[in-house]
Amino acid sequence: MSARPTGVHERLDDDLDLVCDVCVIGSGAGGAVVAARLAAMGLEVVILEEGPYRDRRSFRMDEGEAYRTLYQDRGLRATQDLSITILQGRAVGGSTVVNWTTCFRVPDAVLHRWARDFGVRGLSPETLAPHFQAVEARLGIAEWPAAAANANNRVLFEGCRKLGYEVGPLRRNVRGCANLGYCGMGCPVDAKQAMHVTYLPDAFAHGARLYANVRAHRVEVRQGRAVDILGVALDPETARPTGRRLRVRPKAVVASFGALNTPTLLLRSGLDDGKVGKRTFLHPTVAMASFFDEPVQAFYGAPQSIGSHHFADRGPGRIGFFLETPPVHPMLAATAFPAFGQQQLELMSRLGHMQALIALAIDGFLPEEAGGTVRIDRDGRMRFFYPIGPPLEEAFCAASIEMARIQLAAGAREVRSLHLEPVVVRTEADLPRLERAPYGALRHSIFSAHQMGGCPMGEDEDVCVVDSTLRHRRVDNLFVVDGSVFPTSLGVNPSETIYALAHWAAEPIAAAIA
Amino acid sequence: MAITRRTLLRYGLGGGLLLLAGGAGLSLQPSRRRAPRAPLRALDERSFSVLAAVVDRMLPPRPGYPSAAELGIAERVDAFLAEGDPAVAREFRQALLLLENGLAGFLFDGRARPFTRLPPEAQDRVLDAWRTSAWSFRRMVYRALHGLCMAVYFTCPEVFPAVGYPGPPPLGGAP
Repeated sequence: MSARPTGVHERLDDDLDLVCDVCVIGSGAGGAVVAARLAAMGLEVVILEEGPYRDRRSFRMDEGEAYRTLYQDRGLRATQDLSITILQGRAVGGSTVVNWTTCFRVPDAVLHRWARDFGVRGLSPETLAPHFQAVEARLGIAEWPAAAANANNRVLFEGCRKLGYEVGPLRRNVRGCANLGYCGMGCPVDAKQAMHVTYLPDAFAHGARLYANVRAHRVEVRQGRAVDILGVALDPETARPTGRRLRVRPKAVVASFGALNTPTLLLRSGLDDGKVGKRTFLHPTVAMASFFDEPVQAFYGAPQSIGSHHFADRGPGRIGFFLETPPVHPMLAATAFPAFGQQQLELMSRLGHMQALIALAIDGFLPEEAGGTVRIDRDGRMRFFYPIGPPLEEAFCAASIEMARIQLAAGAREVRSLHLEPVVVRTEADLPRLERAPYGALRHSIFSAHQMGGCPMGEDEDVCVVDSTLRHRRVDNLFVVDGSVFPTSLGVNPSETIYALAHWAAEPIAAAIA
Repeated sequence: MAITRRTLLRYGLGGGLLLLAGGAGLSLQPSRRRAPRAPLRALDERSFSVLAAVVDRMLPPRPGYPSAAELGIAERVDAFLAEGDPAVAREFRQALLLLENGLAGFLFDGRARPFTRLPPEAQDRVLDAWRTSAWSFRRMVYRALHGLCMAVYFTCPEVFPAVGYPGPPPLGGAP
């Protein structure tokens, strides 16, 4: 029973050498779109993907299996000090297989900042607009009606409305969504327009080949040209090397390995110019849980459908944040609540009445913010450091207070922080407790689902790894097309901007080969 | 899910030295051994015994909840570690031995007995001391232990009724 699309190769029985026009490393939001566009232009495209091929037949809405098989480091990816849990996909389709479907265009103001501060040329809102329109049409990106929001999201909506905060429905890349609530574990009905059901089949229809379970280990560079890509075949179950090797000799290389992974690949390839891996941003995210008398069942229904950017701009010197909701499944909740023993079990007994908000900090816009740094160890494995300074701690504190205020306004009986020593709030009068609590690394749960930067784009040679056409500054035929080229975070969920950027980037890449 | 990484050893010189001390087994008293119900794949018998004791306190008996021991949570954590990066398993093992270590316990908490030889209430106090420690290295070890225990237990379908989670909805005929 082979249900794989033609074009997908899942195992290497022997070592293999390939020649092609373009080798795209990674099949997520960046790689899939650019591969489909280049293949449609008649170029011969080979895609390498370290993750396995999975589709709706294997998505069982089982947290344990999903995090182990569809996420980086089997769900254990984190900063070096374990202070920030990093949710990042690892499969054919990349993070688009497991993201929560929220789509935004990059705000115009962010593009203007990139032009002003990093010398990004030619990437105006007008330039990108047709590319946004194209990906929106292909991926069914449309507003999810507020009336269809689940109870978890309605708390954000109603709480903000009562307080006079800006709030509204989000746009999602779905077609025929069944409102199940399991986007983070792979859509079992193919409603989510992830890459493995959209742009990758488009690429295959134009002859592109994809090798799953192959990790690009190194790009061989000679005299300023990428010559070979050395890939290591992995066992699809254990992700351990099988001993087979793949060598691709392309005219051009497109690194779409994702933030964190693309910088790691460049470092492993000896392309350390002192800039690679720096300025990595995360939208560091804090959460607040609340409890309602009536059932919330935050494990069911579209997980993210309401958002607020009311606090995105908090004035000079402060880090802004935006508010959304997460799904509340048993494992995600139990690992986020740091209590143990009877206290933890008592909390978990109330899972069906639990509601949660998240605040995503908009990092990378203050002059003093350097973001995180990707390094590699002796074995070429990623090490990721993200220091949390006072401006972020202040934003976490302000965000926690505002989330609690919103939850109380929406009728929560109790609000609970995710501190190692939790703060419990029952009325507005309790909010100062949150002000007095400690914030920062290993004081409370912190997450990131949005990895950005590490190979910033632009003409500022002191900072930027790739130029404004996404071409590597020192390697002529090497391009980076993924979220790692963002010079700052976006202040919105990044997937749609990566799609559009990849859609836009295909032409300069094709021109560079010709 | 916030869990362990192979980075534990590199978390500052003090943390690294302590982990080495834990791994070297500088204990004043032998551990209370617990026999695994399945052959161990990542942990050794001693670190498994510590893990089983930690699981008992992280997930104690409570009406309505299936027993962590009967579900074999410690054995499942061992299996999870065995399927992943061996460096992660090694550092997790070292973290367990550090928690167990009587000498480290004496320095941190004024107790000379290994974790596995403490009464349950004292074990809870030790876990609390790590959770709320002023030293972020100890909070990191707590998060690593906590994350794996919670992740493995709360993904067992047997636990779903206790938390009011009906499980995934039926798909209604999708092939």
